[in-house]
Amino acid sequence: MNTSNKLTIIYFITAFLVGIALFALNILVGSVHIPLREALQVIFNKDNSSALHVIIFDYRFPQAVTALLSGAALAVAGLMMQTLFRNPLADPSILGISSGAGLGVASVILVSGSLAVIPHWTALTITSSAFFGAVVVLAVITLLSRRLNSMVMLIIIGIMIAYLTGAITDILKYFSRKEEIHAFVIWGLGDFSAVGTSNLDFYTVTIIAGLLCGMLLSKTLNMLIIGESYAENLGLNIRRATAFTIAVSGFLTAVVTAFCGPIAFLGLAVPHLARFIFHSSNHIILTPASALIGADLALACNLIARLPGLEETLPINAVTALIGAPIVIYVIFRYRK
Amino acid sequence: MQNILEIDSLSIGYNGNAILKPITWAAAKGDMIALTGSNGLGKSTLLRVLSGRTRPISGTVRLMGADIHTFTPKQRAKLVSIVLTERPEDMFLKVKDVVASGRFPYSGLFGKISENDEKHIKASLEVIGINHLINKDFTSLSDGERQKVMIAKAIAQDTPLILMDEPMAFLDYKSRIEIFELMTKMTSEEGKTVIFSSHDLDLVNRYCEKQWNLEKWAVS
Amino acid sequence: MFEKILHVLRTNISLLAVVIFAFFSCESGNSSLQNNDNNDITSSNINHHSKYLAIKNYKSGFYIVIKNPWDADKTLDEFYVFPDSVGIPQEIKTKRIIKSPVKSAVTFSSTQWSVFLQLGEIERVSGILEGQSATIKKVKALVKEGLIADIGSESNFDREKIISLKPDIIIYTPYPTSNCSDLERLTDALCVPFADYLENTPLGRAEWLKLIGILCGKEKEASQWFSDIETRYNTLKIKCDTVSRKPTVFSDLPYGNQWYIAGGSSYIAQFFKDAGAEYVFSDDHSAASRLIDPEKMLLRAGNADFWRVTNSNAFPLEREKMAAQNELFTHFKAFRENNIIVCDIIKTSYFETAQYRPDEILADFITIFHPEILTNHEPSYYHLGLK
Repeated sequence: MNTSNKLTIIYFITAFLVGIALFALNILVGSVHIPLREALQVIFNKDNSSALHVIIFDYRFPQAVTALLSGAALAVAGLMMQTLFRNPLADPSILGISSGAGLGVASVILVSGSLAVIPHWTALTITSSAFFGAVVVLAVITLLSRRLNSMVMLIIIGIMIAYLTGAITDILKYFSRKEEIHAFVIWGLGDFSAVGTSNLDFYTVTIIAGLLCGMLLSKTLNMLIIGESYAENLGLNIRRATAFTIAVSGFLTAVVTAFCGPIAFLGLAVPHLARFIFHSSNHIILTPASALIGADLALACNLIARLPGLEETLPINAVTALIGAPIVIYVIFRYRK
Repeated sequence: MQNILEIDSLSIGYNGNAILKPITWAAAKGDMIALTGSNGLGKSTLLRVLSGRTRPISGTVRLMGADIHTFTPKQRAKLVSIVLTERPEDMFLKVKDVVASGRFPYSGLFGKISENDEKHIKASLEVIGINHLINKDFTSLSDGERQKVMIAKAIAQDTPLILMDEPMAFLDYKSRIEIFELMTKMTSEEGKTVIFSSHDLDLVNRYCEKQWNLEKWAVS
Repeated sequence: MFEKILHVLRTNISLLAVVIFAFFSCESGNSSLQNNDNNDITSSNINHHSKYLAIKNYKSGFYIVIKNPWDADKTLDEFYVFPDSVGIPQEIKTKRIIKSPVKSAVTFSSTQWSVFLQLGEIERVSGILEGQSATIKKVKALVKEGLIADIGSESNFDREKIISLKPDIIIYTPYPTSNCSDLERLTDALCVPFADYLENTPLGRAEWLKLIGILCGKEKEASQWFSDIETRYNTLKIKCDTVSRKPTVFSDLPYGNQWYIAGGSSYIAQFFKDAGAEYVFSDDHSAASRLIDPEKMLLRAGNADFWRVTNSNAFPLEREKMAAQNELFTHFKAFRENNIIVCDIIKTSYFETAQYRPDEILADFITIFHPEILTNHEPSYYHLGLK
């Protein structure tokens, strides 16, 4: 085994251990201070009536699992987009999938008016409308990708769709009442607790299925990264590969966005971080690496968003951007050297 | 001896409009054929048709005796490989990754490199004489070195026919000589058939016995 | 510290507070609107509960100061109201004068036009915001017939329509970033800020009806109306002063994960206090809402006896649906025991009417918190328990 392989394994193990540590911290730390001994007692005791038990098992645990899965999903989706479009700025939102989800939510919260002044009653509706909006955009893009040869055109169309859906959302907002706009703004801030224990099984299965599909596309992505013409010459059906890649990465984005809102920056930043740390372009390595680092980063962001001493949770979307932007800047500076 | 490639009354063009008069040619094992003609005539288009990527307006391209479009993309990938002017741009691609991509038609679902693949990769680097570059970042290489890596990829792909679009473009004189020497070695020693387009008439005349000149068929 | 003392004074010895308050407002009130006859302005306000409104008699009219809720040293607006019949005293140089009764008023909030309606003066209202969503039949019908113009939504009101209505006044809802100056330029109307929603006490909010009363020329009726409210409110409140056990209560639903809690000195907190209940966030002395982490919420309110919520949907709240949407709810004692106090906003016309019935709301709450005190009260706004 050569040194670069050894290093790769060491990095994987490190990322995994960091993930475990961050997960534990997510369970143990929050705005309510629970001393370690007491927390351990709550975790290992069967008594499930205390408020602390509720806080740990019904609030912190599903939130940590959601953060972990969402981070992994967005990172892998971003990696696939960046490779497919050979564009370092591509991320799951570039094809308008997040804006599609936003329009879906906007039409429920804003158009249905009094139906949703208190959006919590329609959380399920919000999830399904976000998913619906995302999937419609996804379907349009996937269909177009089979008819268009040029990735650049596809990106432009994606951005245009994002503008269109964004504009419609803005118009809806303009004609809406304060409460409704507020509800929409809050959805836009992102929320890892929205999955909760009741949807956690579904979320876990769906995201893991998406991640496995992403893993199965590793060879396709390894071919695409050499160049489209070469990939085609190597036996790849480009249009089908493009459609599959968009579908899988769009699906992951749609599921995460539907439940947690548009989580910014993880999809853009993590693939760069993964390439930079693992110094590889091989997706057999990069896909699991992005998933791990994405999970780690999301857990870290979730921890920062709920730092003890803070009465309120910071919006997760702000934290991911605050952490993500410097990472991208740092990596770009290091790339240049 | 069986022809590797047979071109039969082939008419190529865009949107149904032919840009060349129908052509009929054949290439045998070990041939090194230069495709010449002035710019914009359709050399690249012809190479795309020969690689099976684009369909002709009429006529046929036969590869090992069968119409090129009767092969599946994967089968075709084992018969014809290409070297284009475009280059991989990902900054973390190693030379080995690029050459190894030539083995994708032979590998499984995850593209795992087998021992046999490993042998092919080593051998292609050997033929081209760039073993020392194997762990270098592809984007850190010079133009000439990159071209050699792309040719090594084509060799690793283990196809009887290799098509090259302007392999001398952007190269200095020394590198161009090297590439010509390499192509001669590949055809005469390895038994490959190489068809390449070029403007470099001096070197073409010096190295190639066979030339296909597209000018003669230009539509008036 | 000073604020705390003031707070105690205001709530416990309200009369003294009013005097201090009047003293301050009198000083700031006259600082910018200069006139030579300060003596003609009565030294005390004729309102006692509203923090941001100061109404004083001035000769046969009124001198009104709206204080700036975001900057205590400044006034938001000040103007005179004189009956049309008496004419304007010569010494008044300012142009900020309203002749009462107003003929055409544009209102921005239902808490404004609903006073016109209850005083029998709704025909003075020529335009309202969000006319489509008015829940009171009479107003809905007037909007439909076109007798009252619907001037759009707050974020997007129709300026051309407002101009065409030729209002003499535009009563608007002030925000830190908004004023009405563009409308004053476009019309001949005087724009009156109505800062009722910033008042922290039920009576303080209700008392703004006096301002509308003056604008309609019905100041006596309005005064009587308010004093009835005040009397009943205070009588009910006194009954709760001696309760032995104060149930704990918390308020409001989260937006997703964002749980906003009303401050300990807020409007709703004052109701809880006056109805003999203990608000779980009463230690927070702010009047504003703020965000709180859900796990803190669980810790603080998990064992509270009651949970007050409002329902803006057209359909009733159901416990099962609530639990399906946010399973954290099931960990609140009030939720498990169905001690949820719910107000159906639409069914009760809450936004239009509740502000001027604080006595009724207080009675609703007392019936729930202390059924032994109020035995035969039929609740109007708040009901206990969900399906």
